[in-house]
Amino acid sequence: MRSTNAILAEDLVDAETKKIHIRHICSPSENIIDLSIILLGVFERSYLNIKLTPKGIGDYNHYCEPDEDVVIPILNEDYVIADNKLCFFIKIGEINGQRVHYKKGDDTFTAICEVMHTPMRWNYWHFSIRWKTDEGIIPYEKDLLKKKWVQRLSSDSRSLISEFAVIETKEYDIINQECYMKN
Amino acid sequence: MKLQNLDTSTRVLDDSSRMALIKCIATLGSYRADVIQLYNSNLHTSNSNKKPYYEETYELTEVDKKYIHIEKSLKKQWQELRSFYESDVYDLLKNGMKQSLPLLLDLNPNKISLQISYDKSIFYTIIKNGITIYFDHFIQIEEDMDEVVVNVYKNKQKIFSGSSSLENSYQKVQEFYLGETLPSFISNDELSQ
Repeated sequence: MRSTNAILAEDLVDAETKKIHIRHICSPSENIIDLSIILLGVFERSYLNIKLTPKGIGDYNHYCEPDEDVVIPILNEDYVIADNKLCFFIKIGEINGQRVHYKKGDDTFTAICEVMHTPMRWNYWHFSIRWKTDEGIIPYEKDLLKKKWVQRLSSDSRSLISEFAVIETKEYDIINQECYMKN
Repeated sequence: MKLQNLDTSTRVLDDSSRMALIKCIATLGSYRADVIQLYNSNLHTSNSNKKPYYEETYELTEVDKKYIHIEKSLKKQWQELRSFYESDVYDLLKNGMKQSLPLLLDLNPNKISLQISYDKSIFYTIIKNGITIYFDHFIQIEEDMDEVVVNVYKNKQKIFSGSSSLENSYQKVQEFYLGETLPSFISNDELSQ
């Protein structure tokens, strides 16, 4: 799931097509070809209301190893509980593995969507929607990519998420502890 | 003067004739947009005893009403997003919309929406007969830059993806709705120029 800045449900979804508004998929300061999402399950829907304080951002808003020792953030010091945020949901299986193939003359690449576990110090359940080529994960700094590739990937990302994002989710499985707990 | 939808049954035309027709649709669509602008510009007021010529003869079609509705949506979205862009981007977006929207409305979609992306593109979502087309029109035209990215989904499966000029992309979408067979995704990764 991914939180949005939408306050009202009718702001989140286009009334005509019932698709998520693309401005709520990603803000200009973020990168649609490296999109943060959270695995729903152990991390519950209500936890989206967690908002890091400036101190919390400095101490906790960083990627980390899955088994890194992290001091638990403190309420009202490292984070506060903000107003209820609207969010949307995507099934990982529906987007993982989706392909973009770009070819124009001799300029060609194939990128595959990969939903990766990218834990952060404040949230172990942080994941990222990224794109991968034969040379590895596409660097998320847009300046490192050809402009036309960025344009194509960004557009395909928009379409992909528009197609599969939903604003309500039915029952879902909670990941088995054996998948993430060390012995 | 009565503006109506053009007959876009281009199946019997060869490629060059089809391209010419597509350009014609775009041009007329833009002209029609200007007429609508004029119609709504309050040139005739309740105080006027004499109705202007165009009000006596011009009838808004359902397509015109859709056009007006979507244009209002563009304007509203711009108000929300303008802080992210340079001021001249709105004119670029609007001119881009005047090129692409008439073409897409001519497909007679069941549903259509327009959104402004953060990449200076006009992102259309078109739904017709259970097929969803995402038509992403990039309005900042630079040399060697693709102008439109098209993604087509049916039953949650991507069945087509490609990028090309506006005219080529529209033609591809039009062929799709006419029922012509599309090359498979693997072999048709790029719309032909």
